[in-house]
Amino acid sequence: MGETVMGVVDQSTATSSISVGLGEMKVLKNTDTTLACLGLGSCVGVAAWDPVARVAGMAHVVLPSSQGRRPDSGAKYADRAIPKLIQEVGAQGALKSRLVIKIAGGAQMALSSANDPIFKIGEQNVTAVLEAIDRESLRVEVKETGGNRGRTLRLNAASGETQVSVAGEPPRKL
Amino acid sequence: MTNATSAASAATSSEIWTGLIAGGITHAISGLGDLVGEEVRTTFISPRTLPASQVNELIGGPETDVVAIHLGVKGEATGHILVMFKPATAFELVNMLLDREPGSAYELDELALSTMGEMGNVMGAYFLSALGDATGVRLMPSPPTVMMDMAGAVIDAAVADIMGDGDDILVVETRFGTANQQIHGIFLVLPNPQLKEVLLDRWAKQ
Repeated sequence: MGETVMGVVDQSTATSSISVGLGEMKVLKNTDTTLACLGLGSCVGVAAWDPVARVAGMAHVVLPSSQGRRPDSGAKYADRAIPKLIQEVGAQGALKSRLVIKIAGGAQMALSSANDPIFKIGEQNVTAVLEAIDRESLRVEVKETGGNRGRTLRLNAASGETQVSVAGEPPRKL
Repeated sequence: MTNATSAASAATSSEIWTGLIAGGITHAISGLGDLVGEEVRTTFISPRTLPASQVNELIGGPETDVVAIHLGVKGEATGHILVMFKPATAFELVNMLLDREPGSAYELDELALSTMGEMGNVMGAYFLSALGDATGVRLMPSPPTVMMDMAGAVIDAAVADIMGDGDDILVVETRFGTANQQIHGIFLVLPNPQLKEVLLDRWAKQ
């Protein structure tokens, strides 16, 4: 994993990166691999890290609520994704009380006026993710959400370092 | 129905769907040609079903910078249309549409946003009217929304809307360009599953 210089994490020395696609969830244990939710718009990336067990999990949440929807096996819905993420990292030895949770995404991407209700999904996703985390009696340590810019969220599974990047700017430590 | 018959009708419905979409897209691309005063041709058209987790890999990957125009499809069925360009291409399109010198636009100011939106509007309206003419299904575009960001970020709200109905996403990816490739872009159609059903059903009854 790269070094931190002036708050900027150098990702160039990372050995490998695994993309967490829309509605997916991935968990890694003590490996020099970075989990990444690439190009988050209205979606919310959730990173969970246990610094003692060195277990990292990431979910790419797409929609706020599974109510009235068909069950899914991944992380599509905020209300299902959060308990599942905690369960999955727990299965690898992470303790809920040690989890450091960071989230990014949930933007409203429109530059011009947006009449379509789909452009409200980002805000709803953020609210639903925060509520689901609260229901687990956990708290979000850092979040970078809302606004109208897309983001990429990365979490290194060996160091727990998290970074967020937006188009045209260097990555920043989250 | 025998399996052979079933396979034959499945192939036929897939061909009809491809034909309907291709007709609509050809019309949309000709609309762009009319606007810029140059012939614009479709160079690649691929209707296919992808796992939702892979949809943001289209357009050169989720972190590729794009300018995108989103149009919702409204009416008897719903879906989404995204017209996407590399930013430099989008700026050149703005210059062409506003009769400006090449290279004069380098950001999306209000006039450029409005110009891009109008261009998307024309392409969406041409696409949907061609589908309507072929099937009798009444479809309209929502007002255009222009975005400039990472491809994954501009596409995910539309994908989210469709993912509520399932994990597989029907996409129609089209690449188009002028003869000298000064303009090349992607016309992406993300229909809700009902849109395909309604179009095929009504086409059969025509």
